[in-house]
Order: sequence, then C-alpha cells, then structure tokens
Amino acid sequence: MATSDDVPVIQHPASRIRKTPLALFLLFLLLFLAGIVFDEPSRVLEQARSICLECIGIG
Amino acid sequence: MERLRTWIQALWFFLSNGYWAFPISGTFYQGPLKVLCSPGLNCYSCPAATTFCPIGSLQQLLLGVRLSLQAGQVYLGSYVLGCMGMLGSVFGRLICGWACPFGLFQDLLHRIPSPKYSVPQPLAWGKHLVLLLMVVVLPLTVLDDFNLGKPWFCAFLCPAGTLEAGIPMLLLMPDLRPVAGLLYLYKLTLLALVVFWSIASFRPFCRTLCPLGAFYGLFNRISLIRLKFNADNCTKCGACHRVCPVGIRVFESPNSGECIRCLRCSTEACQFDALSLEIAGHVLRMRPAPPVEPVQHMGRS
Repeated sequence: MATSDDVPVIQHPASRIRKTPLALFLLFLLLFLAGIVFDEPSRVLEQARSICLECIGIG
Repeated sequence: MERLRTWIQALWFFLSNGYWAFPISGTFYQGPLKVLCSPGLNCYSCPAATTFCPIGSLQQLLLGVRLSLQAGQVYLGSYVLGCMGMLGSVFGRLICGWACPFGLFQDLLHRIPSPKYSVPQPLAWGKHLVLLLMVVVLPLTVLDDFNLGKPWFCAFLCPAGTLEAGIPMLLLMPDLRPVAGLLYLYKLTLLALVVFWSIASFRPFCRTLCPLGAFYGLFNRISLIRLKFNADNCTKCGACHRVCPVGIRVFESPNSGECIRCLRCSTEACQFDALSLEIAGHVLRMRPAPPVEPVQHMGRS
C-alpha cells in the first residue's frame, strides 16, 4: 500500500545519459526501419490476422 | 507500489487484449492494430488480442525464411527484432514486471495462500536455452516436406497460447473440438503444471522458461531505465534480498538479468536510500515508509 512517504522524488541528473542504451536503441531502430522497407509489417499483420491452430495446440 | 504495479499490469492486459466483442461477434480481432508489438508475452491468436506477440511472430518469420527468400521477399524478422530490441534497450525486464499479461496471471496465482517455495537458481538458464533452441534454431533448421519449419515454442511450450487462445477458441468454435487431440491435452497439462507451480513459487514460467524474459534480461544491465545502487549508503543489512520475490542479492547485482523491476527493494525494504530507479541519468528515489522498529543491520560504520 502506497503511503505519502512513497512519493517518488526526481533528483537532478547524477550522471550523464549513458550512450550504450542509446546506441543499442538506434541499432534496433535501424533493424525496425529495415523491416519496414522490406514490407515485413504486412507479413506480420497477415500472420497476426490468422489463427495458427498448431501454435495453440489444436490440429 | 505493489497496488500501482497491479493496476498498470491490468491496464496493459486490456491494451493488449482490447477486443471484448468476440463472444458476441464470434470472431477475433483482425484490425490494423495487430501490426503493433505487444511488449509482453501475449498470444495473438487470443480472440481479444489487439497486438502481435513478438515471440510468435519471430518464429513464424524464421520458419518460413527460405520460402520467402525464394519468393524474393526479405522477411528475416528484423521488424519484430527491432521492436523487441527497442523495448529492451529502454525498459529491460521492467516490461516483465509491469506490462506482461502472463506475468500478471502468475502474480495473481501466487497470491493464493499456500506453502511457498523458491525456484532453484540453475533452472534460470532454461529460458536462455528456450530462446536459442525453440525460438531460433529449431524453427530455422527442422523442416518439413514443404521446406517449412515449426513454431516450436508456441506449439510445444507456450502456456499463454493455451490459456489465451487454445481454451477460448474451443469454447468459441465448437467445430474445432474434434480436431483437438493429444497435443492439446499435453498443452493443457503443461498449463496446469505452470498454474500449480505459480501458486507455490513466484513467477516460475518467467524465471525458467520464458524466451521473452530471457531476451529482455540481456538488456537489464544497460537499459535506459535501471536500478541505481549507491554502495556508500548500503549497510548490507540484506533487507532488499529478503523482500526480493526472485531472490536476487540486490546489493551485489542490482541489475541482474533476473530482476523484473518490481521495485520492492527500493520502495519496501531499503531504509538508507541505497537503491533508486535511474531513468536516462535522472535518479528517481522511492522513499520507503520509516520502520516501525529500528532496523537491525550489520557492519554500518
């Protein structure tokens, strides 16, 4: 149960923003964009719109 | 904080499964939102699912990669992997603790009063094997006569699919019932085992078998949002370890790949401001309520 003492306190940046997560984020953003360029979302949508009976143990 | 976490988990459950017209319409959601990635493990064959499951989609793309390349289409899973990686690099396993529908299911089961047991630490490696073998290697390499692989994790292991799709689909579509055979029975048994284990242990599936948890866990040490440990304030009293539901020695490994960021250590246990949440360099301190009795601690100079 939250109490009044549980209120989060934001402090000023204690350190600089780390570069590693941002670099990783950019890397995966590039992968994501590459997928869009190759029209992968339409394939994902096509799969997600159908039921894979084998995947849910039926058939 | 625990109550807030449950509410946020419930919110994500309804965002990932927002199509509640299915009992009336007799169909499942097929709209454009299904191009969006569900952050947690959520079967997209669930009649109410409004997003795609990253693990299910990744397997489907990998198992058909040969055929798609032969057809001149480059479906290598980069869109899905990109979604998963972006989520992982920002949140790490915070997603497991706060946004996974199957995690919420296990959390609720664990509230059922019963004797509680810990999960043996070596079993934690299981989820990495599942990710490597059942999600990547086997769908890519074990092929049928049509040059297609199988979605091994979904077909043989995923209890979320049985719970969210297998059972509702058989209730919704009686025509499918004769098709359900031994595989369905096996998956029901597996789901029952996970249910009983979840009552006795905290989130056993997440900790031992979930490939999505294994993937996000790889980011825990470096994600933009992570725990910040202040060694100068730590008295090594062990309160954080005692309260941790996954048994991490927080003062030794605050950003362990097993941590699901429930934040109990910083909000309920640590009285010395040794643990806080770091969000892109900003420190968010969660002050716990002051102790009723003085805390017994060792070695504080």
